[in-house]
Amino acid sequence: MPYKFIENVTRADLCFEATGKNLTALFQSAADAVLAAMADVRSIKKKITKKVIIEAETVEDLLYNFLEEIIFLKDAENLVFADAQVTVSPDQKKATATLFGDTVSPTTQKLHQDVKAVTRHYYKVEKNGEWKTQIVLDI
Amino acid sequence: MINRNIPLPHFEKKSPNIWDIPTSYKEGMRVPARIFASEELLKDMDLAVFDQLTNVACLPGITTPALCMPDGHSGYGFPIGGVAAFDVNSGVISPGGIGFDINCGMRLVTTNLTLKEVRPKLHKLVDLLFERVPSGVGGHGFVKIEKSQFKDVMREGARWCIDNGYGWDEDLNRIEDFGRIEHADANLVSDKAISRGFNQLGTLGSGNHYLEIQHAADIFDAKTAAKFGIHSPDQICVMVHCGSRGFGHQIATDYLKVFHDVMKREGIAVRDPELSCAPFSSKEGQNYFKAMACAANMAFANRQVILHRIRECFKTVFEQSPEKMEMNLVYDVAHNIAKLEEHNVDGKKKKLLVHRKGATRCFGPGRQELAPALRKIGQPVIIGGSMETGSYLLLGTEKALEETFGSTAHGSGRTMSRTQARGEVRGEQLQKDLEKKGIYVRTASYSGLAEEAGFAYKPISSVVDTMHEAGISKKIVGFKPIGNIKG
Repeated sequence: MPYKFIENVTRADLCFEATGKNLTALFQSAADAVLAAMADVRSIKKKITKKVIIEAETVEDLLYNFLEEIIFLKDAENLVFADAQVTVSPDQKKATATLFGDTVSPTTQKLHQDVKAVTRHYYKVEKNGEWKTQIVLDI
Repeated sequence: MINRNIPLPHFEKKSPNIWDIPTSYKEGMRVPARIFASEELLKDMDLAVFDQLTNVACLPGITTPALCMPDGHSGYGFPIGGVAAFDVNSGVISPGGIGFDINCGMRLVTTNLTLKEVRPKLHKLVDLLFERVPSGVGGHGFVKIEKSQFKDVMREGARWCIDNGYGWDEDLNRIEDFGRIEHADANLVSDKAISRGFNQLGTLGSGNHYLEIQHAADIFDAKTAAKFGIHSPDQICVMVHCGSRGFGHQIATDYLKVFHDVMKREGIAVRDPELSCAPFSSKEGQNYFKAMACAANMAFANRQVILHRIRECFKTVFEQSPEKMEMNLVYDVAHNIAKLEEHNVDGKKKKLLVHRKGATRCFGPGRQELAPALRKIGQPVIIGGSMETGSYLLLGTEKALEETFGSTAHGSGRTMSRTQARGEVRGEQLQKDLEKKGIYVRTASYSGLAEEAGFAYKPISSVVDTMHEAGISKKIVGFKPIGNIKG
C-alpha cells in the first residue's frame, strides 16, 4: 500500500500521495488511502461485496470517478470497506473493482473521517518512472 | 506536485487589521487580495492561504478585492474564510468558492436552564443526544422519507420541517433566508445526489461538525444579548454545526464535472482545477445556482430536524416542555454559500454574486433580508470555536456592508493540519483531559476527536477581536462548552 498522508498542503482537509509501478497499482494505493481515511480497515468485517465498474476518457477522470464511487457508496448505502481489489484496463479507460466491507457500525468499527469528496485541488496523475498522484480529500 | 514554492507576499498595511496583496504578486490578478487579520494572525496563516486567495483574485468578473477573514486557513480552491463578489453579467459561479458542504452552517438555541440545573444531568443529556442525533461516517437520520418527499425538502427547506411537525413556526424567522431559498429547482439535481442524501436528514457528519451544550460565560453587550434571549452567564445554550451532508457534496461534485466542459467551451483558464467555474449568466451557471439552493434548503432542514431532536432530548431529561424551557432559536447562519445580494460599489447599488466559503453573512440593521424584528437590531452571527475554547454570538454592522459585503469570520481557523494534530494527542486521552476540565465529550471517532483538539486551532478570541476592532461584527456573547457531541 504505497501511500502516505502529507502535512502542510492543506490545514482543513486531508492530503495523500499514492504511487504504483503501474496504473492498477496506483489505483490500488489510492483506494487504500481513501479507505484508511474513513476507517481503521482492520476493524471492518468483509461481509458485503460490491462490484464497481468505472469508465472515463482520461486517467485523471478514471481515478477521480473511481474514488468518488467509494465515497458515494458510504453515504448512499451506508457502507465502509476493508479492502478494494482494482484492475485498470490496458487502454487506461476502464477500472474494475471489487470492494469488501460492511454496513457502518460505530459501536463495532473504528471509524475515522466522513470524507465529503475527492477534490481536484492541483490534481494530477503523473508517470515519471512509476505512477504518482497527490489528492486532497474534503473532510 | 502541489505547488509548495509559494512566495511570501509583500503586504500593504491598510489598517491595523487589514492587509492587501497587490495585483503585482501574481500574473493574472484582476484585483488585490485583502486579508482581515491582526499582525499575529497574519503571521500564523499558512502560505497556501495567500496562494489560494490570489488565485481567486484572478477569476473572471471579480471587480473588488478577494477577501479573507481572520480565521482563514488553506483548503482547496478558495481558502476557508474566503469571500468574493462577482459581477452578475461578466462574473462566474464556482463550487470551489462555496465548498462541497453547501450551506454548512451554525445554529444557536437558548434555554432558561442554568449551569447548576444542567451539570448534574449533563452525562445523561449528552449520552441521549449522542444516541438520538447520529454522527460520524455515513449514518442514516431518524427522518424516514421517500425520495419523492425529499424533493419537497429540496424546495421547501426548513418550512417542510415545520409543516411535518419538526419545529415551531417562529423558528423560520430566525433562519437565514427564512430557511428556504426560493430559486431551488429539484429537476436540476442528479438521482445520484438524491440517493446519497435522502436518508441523511438529522445527521451531523464528521470533521469539525458538532452539537454542543454551552453556557453564556461572557456577556459583552447585555442589552443586545437580552434581545436575543440571553440574560446571564450561567444560562445554558445549545449550538449545532453541520451542513447538507452527502447530498450537497454530490451536487458540488456533479457540477464541477459540468463546469470542466463549460470552461473549455468558454475559454476560461484557472490556476487550480478546484476553481472550476461557469459564467453566472450561462445555462450551466444558473443550473448550478438552482441546484446549490436545493442543497442549501436540505441543510436548513437538516439543522431544523436536529433542533427538534434536541428539544425532545431536553424534554426527556429535564421533564419540562421545550416551550417552558424557552428553547428558542437565536439564529441559523450559512457559512458555505453563494448569494445574489445588492451592495454599494463606488457609491452605486449593484447586484453581485457573493461567494462565502467558511465566512458568515453579517448584515447590519436595515437589510430587507432580515425578519422585521431583526431588521432594527442587525443580524446575529454565530462563530463556532473548538470544543475546548468556546464560541461566540456576534452582531452584523453597517460597516460590514461597506467593507466586506456584509461578511465576517465563521470559526477559529486551523493552525495545524489534521495529520499533525493526530500525531500530538490520542482521542481517548483528549476525552479524559476535557472531562477533567468539565467538558463531557462523546464522539463517533477518536481519531477525528484528536484532529479537532483545541491546540489545532487559532485562539478564537483573536479572530473575533479582529473583526470587532475592525467594526465588522460586534461581540455580544462568548460561550464556554460543558458538553459536546463530536462527529
